[in-house]
Amino acid sequence: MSIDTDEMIIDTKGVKVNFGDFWALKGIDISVRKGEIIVILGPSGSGKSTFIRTLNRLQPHSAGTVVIDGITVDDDTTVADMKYVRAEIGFVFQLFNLFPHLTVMENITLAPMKVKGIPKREAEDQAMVLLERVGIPEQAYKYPSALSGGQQQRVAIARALAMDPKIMLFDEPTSALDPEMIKEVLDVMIDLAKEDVTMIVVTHEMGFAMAVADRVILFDEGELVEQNTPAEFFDNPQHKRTKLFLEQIL
Amino acid sequence: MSLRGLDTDSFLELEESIAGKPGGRWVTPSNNTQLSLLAISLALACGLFGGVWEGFLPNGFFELVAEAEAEGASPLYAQIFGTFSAIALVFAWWVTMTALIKWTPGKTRTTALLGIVTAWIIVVAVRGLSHFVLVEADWSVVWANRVLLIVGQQMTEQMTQAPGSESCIAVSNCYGVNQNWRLWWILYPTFAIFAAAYGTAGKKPWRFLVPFTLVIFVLMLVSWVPSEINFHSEVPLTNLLKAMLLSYLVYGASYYYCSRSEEYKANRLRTYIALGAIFTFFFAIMIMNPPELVKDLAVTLGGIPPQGMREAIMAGDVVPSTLDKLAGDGIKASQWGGLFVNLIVATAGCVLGFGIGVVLAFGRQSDQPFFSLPSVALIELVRSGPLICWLWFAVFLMPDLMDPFYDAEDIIRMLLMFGVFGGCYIAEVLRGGLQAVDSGQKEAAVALGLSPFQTKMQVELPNAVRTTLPSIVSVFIGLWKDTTLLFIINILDFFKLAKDLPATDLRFLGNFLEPLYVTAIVFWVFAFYLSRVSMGIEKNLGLVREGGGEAA
Repeated sequence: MSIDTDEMIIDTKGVKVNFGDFWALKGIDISVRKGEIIVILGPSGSGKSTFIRTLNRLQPHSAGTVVIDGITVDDDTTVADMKYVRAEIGFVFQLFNLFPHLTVMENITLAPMKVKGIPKREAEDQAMVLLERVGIPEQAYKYPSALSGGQQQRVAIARALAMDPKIMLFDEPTSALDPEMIKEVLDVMIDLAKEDVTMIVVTHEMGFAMAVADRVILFDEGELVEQNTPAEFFDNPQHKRTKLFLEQIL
Repeated sequence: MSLRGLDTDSFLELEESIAGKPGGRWVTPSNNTQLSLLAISLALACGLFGGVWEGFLPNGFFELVAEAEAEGASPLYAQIFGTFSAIALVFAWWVTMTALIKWTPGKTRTTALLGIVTAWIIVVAVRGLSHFVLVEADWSVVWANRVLLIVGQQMTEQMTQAPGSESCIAVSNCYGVNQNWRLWWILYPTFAIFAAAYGTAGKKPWRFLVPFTLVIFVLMLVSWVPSEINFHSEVPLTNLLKAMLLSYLVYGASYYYCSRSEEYKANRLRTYIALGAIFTFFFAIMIMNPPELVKDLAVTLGGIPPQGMREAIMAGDVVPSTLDKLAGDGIKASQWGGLFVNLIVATAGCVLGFGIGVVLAFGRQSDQPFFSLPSVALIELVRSGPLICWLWFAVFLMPDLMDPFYDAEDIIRMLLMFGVFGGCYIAEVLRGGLQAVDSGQKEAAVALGLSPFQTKMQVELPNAVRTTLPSIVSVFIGLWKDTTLLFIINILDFFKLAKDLPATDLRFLGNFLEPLYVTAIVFWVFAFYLSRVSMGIEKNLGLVREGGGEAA
C-alpha cells in the first residue's frame, strides 16, 4: 500500500450541496492521493453518501470545486471530459443496481462495449477474468435475480471494474446484505485494496477500516469532523464527536 | 362440490348448493336420496315429454324436435337443437322439482329462488340461441362467401378466375395470373414466427401442437370442402399443409434450442423472433404490392412481367416463374379486403404504434422543448379525438399533407393512422412504465458512463417494456376491435363485407343476421386469444423474479 506519487487524483474544496433549505454538505475539503484508500464513517444523514456522489456528479454540488484527475467537474464540464471522468470512476451502490433484464455477463460488458467500443468477444473475455477475480465465474450467464445479495454485489464490483477505473467509490456496499454475505464482499474489496486503485469507501465496517484504510474520515451533519490514520483515529480520537461516535458503535 | 367423484354425498352437496337445503318436515336423512331420485325422474320426464299434452307444461325434447322440423330444419339439426334445449330443460326441471319436493324455499329461500330463476333463464337463453343457430339461420350465406370474407373481393376473383378455374370460361373475363401466391408468401413466415414464439414459451408441446393443428384443419376445411367455392382447392390445401409442416419444424427447433440452452439464450431468441415479426409485417406489405424498386430488381434478375403475356399464359404456352410473378404488378392496397385487411391494419397499429409510442414516450419526457412540445401536442390531440374523426382525417386531409412526398392509397393511410393512434396510447402506457423505472437503474447507467440516449435505450426502455407489456397488449386488443371502423370509409374489411353479404345473391336476401354473428365470433376469438397471450406474458414476468438488486 505504498503511495507512489504525491499527485492528487481527487481534490475537493468547499463542496456544498443543498436540498432546498437543507444543507447536506457544508463545505468539504478533501484531497486524495493516487492509490490512497479512504474510509468515510458517520451517522445516517451526515452527508457521506452525498459527498461521494458529487465526485462523479450523480449529485451536482451547489458550491465549491471538485477536481478529478485534473478535470474540474461542474456544470461547464464538456461532455467528453465528463465521459472521461465517469470512465475513471467506478461506483458501487448500496442496492447493487444491477440491470435486471441483462445477464451477469451482459451487465458487465454493457459499458465497455457501448462506451469504450470494445469488441464483444474481448469484453466478454475481460468480464470472465473479472468474474474469476470476484469468485463467481460460474454465474456468468444467470440473471441477477437468480443470485444472492452478496453475489449481486460482487457482480456490481466486477461491473464497475470492467471500465478499468482509477478510482473506486463504494457507497455502503455491505449495508443491504445479510451478515453472512458481508464477508465475501469485503474480501473482494480487501483484494482490490492491494492493487493500485484509489478507493473511497463509505461503510460501517470498522474491521475493514482498521485493516485496509490509509485514512479514516468522520462526517457529521455535512461537515468533516476528523480525519486521521486508522490507528490514531480509533485509539486516540481528537474530537468529542468522534469519541461519541466510536462509543456508540464499538 | 366435486364433479369427479359424483357419489351420493357429493351429489347431495351439489343439489344443496343449487336448489337449496331441504326445508320440508317430511325430508329425513333416510329418504333424502330417494326424494332426489324422484326429482330427477320427474325432471327427465318433463324435459323429454313436456308439452305433449297440449301445452300443459313447457315443451320437452320430442315436442321441440317436431316443431323444429315443422319449421323446416333438417332432422339432424332438429335433433341437436332438441338435445341442447332438453339438457337445459331437464336441469331447470330438476332444480324446480327438487325445490318443490324437498321444499327448500322453507329453509333457504334466496338460494332456492335464485336457483330456479337462473335455471329457467338458462333454458330461455339456450333454447333461443340454439333455435336461431340450428333452426332459423341459413348459414349458407356465410359459407358460400367464406373466401370473400377472408381475402376480399379482388383476391377472390383472382382465385376463381385464373387460368384453370371453372369460372374462367372466356379468355376475356379471366385473370392472366393468380395473384394469391402472395398470400402464401405471407402465410409461411407468419406461421413460422408463431411456431418459433411458442417454442420459446417452455410449455408442454401438446399445448401448442394440438390447438395449432386444429386451427390449420379448420382452415383446410374452409378451403377444401368444395360446396360453394369454384377454385381448385389443391393450392390452398398444399400450401396450408406445407406451412403446417414448416411450423412443426420451426417449433421443434425452437423448443429443442430453448430446452437445451440457458435462459439468456432463449431471451435472445425471443428478441430475434420479435424482430422477425416486425420484418414479416413490412415484408407482407411489400410482397402484396411490391414497390418499383423490387419489380425492377426482379426484371434485372431476368423476370418477365406476366401482365404483358396474358394471351400466351392463357393459352398455356408460358408458365410464369416466381421471378416473373415478382416482376409483375402487385395487388393495389385499395383492392385488399376481408379479414386480411383487419389483420394487416391491426398489425400496423401494433408495429408502427409501438415504434411511434416509444419515440413519443421519450419525447414527452425530454427536457428539450423541441422534443417534448410536439410529443405532448400530438399525444393530447390524437387521444382527445375519436378514432372515427382520425379516419376521416386520414381520408380527406392527410392526402393534402402527404401527397407532395408520397401518394398513398386509402388503406396505407389507414395503416399510418392506426399506427399514430395506437402509438399515442402506447406512449402514455410506456410513460408510466418509464417513470416507474427505479432511479438506481439510471444512476448505475450514468455512473458507468453511458450517454443519456444509451441509458434510455439499454436500460430504461427494456425495463419499462417488461413492466407494461400486459397493458400494451390490451391497447393492441382495442386496436384490433377498432379495425371494424374501416367500413365507415368504405374499405371492404371483414365487417363491411359481412354486412353486405345478403346482397351477394338473391337467395341470401334478408339473411343479414348470420354474417354479423360470425363477425362477432371471429372478432371475439382473436381478441380472446390476445388476452390469453397477455395473461401468459404476465405469468412469465412473474416467473422471472423482478428486481435484481432491489430484491435484497
